[in-house]
Amino acid sequence: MDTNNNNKIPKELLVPMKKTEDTSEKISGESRTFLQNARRTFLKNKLALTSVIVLVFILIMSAVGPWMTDYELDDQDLSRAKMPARVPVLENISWLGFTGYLSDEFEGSDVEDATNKAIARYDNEADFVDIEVISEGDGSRNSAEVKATYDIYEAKGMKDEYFWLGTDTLGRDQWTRLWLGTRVSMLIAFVAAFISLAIGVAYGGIAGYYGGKVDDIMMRILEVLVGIPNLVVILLMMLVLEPGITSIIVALTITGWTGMARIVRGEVMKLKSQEYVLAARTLGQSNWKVITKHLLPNISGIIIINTMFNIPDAIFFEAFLSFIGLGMAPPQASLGTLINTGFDNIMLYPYMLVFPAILISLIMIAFNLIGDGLRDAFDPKMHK
Amino acid sequence: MARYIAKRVMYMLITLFIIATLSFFLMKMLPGSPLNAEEKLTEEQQAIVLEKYGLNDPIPIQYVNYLAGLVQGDLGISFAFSNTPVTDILMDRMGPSAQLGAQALVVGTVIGVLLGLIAAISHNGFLDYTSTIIAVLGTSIPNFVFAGLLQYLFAAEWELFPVALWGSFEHSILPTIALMIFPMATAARFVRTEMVEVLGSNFITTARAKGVSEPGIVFKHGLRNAMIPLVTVIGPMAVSLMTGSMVIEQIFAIPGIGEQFVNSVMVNDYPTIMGTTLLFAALFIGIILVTDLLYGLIDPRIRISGGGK
Repeated sequence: MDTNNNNKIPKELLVPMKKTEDTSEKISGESRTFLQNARRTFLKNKLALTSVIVLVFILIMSAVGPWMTDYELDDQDLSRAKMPARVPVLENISWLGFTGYLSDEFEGSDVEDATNKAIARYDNEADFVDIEVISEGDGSRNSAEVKATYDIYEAKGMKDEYFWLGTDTLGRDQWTRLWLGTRVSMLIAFVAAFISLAIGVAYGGIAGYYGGKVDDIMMRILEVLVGIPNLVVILLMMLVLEPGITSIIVALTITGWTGMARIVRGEVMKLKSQEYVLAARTLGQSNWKVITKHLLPNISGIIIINTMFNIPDAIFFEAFLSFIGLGMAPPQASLGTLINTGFDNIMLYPYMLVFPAILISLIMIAFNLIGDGLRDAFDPKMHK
Repeated sequence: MARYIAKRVMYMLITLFIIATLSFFLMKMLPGSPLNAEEKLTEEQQAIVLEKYGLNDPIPIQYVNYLAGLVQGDLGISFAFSNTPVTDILMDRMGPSAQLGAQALVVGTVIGVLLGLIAAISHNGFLDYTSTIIAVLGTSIPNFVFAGLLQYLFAAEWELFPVALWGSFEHSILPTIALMIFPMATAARFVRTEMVEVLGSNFITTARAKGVSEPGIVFKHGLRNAMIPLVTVIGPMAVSLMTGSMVIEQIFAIPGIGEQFVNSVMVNDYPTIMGTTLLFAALFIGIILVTDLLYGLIDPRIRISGGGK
């Protein structure tokens, strides 16, 4: 029979297992601490891991990116304004959009009319505009259509220059400004998130740990503060303060810590009545020791997760404020101001909007995915 | 319950009072007065202008007048559009903003709930991943980026919708889509998480054992329970709609409250800025209040325990 064939194992291999006292009681696999478990779960999360890599790359680029070109943050030169993106090697792959050509479709009553419109649009440099007829037209209004490609680098005699991401309306290099802007946005987000963290943990920790009257008073104050919409507070603060990095950080932290304070208070209240805290107290540990050695490590997970979600919020608010004209002021660059300039030129020079928009989206997605990953990692239910 | 509502309304009024006071004194701290915008005026003319805006009185009296005006719905007179009360400006511009907000909220939530539902049913399947990706993108990507993308592709390139301005229903389609992304993504995430949990609970097994049809289980037993926590995210959704109204009305040149706010910021029209801020605050606080009451109403567990906290 088949089953017998499969079981053809030489008899001499089958040796009875020796039973001894110590091995039978041994538990296989070493036990892991909570943090090791959390790390394992996080490292298994491919999306979160990719996000970390993307984010580290963006951070490194915001540090070294501006030095990769010879242009400065505020190198204005109107003769080279609104140049499209052009990258060596990649310029030969037309669909990538790094060719350094401006291109658009023009309509007219006949081909000549459309061509004239195209040339007028492109600085009247007829020699450098390449016309491709899409439809001949029948003489009626806007029936003919041509596709014009304008080699602006050639026309301006800048064939040796490469603006990797193009230039803005004042001829400033977008690559340089993009990474400097990222640096500013990241700085604002990180500083705002960490100040919020410090205030929130201290406030919530004190309220939760001491409880009673202290907690009552602190929570009443917090309740009133939470009732005021943070959008309103941020807008009011930005009106009063001078625009700049510090004011944005101040405006964001004034409201940013309340969420953290509530969470930390809840956690501390839950933890402080646990047996191990009672044991530590009975053994005569000081309040400070109990807080730093026993409580903080146990709520660190929730603090980290909360901070990871605060950072993208701060990035969004910075961009939002700069967008409505209350945030960073020119010539300072931030992702918000870059996007704002991009919107002013969206119809004719979409590349000015595309790159900062992609970058801010990438940053936000990465932070959110890392936050999700950490939430899973610190959730004991997810450990396998 | 009545006592609870009374307490909450009082809290709300106190908060509004604080915001009004805060914004009044901030307004006094700011540089600039209606005189800046005028041509060179004689002493008497200046006095007349100051009289018109009530700026001659000492600040405490101005404060009392301001509060008295607020109670009657009078938000002062705009600096930029002289002689126009801020209340009138805001009333004029309420329509487009309200329409956009309502459309975005309703359409976004409905689509979001459906997405979440589909994801939960095909748990860990292809559709689940697709809708999870949509949800992550929707909560992460700023709404103005979406707005730019929509405007460029659908209006400028493919010419399917008007690029900007306000008028017919078609004008409202692109802004509504840009605005509804966040409510949609949030609803999808919440409903999915809740639905997965609810579908795994004992009463669903009981329902199955009793022979309830699959649609009955999903919609009657599952969805109704999974939707309850959705009420708690109405707050963040409201904030997103307000920030969204500012940027998206600006991008699509819609004559709404958000656009008014941004323009007022540009010209330092403080009374209008403060009026808009107060309106946003009142709206937000009102929404949170309604949310909390609603939560007590639809979740019997909270109602029974005496109105929650």
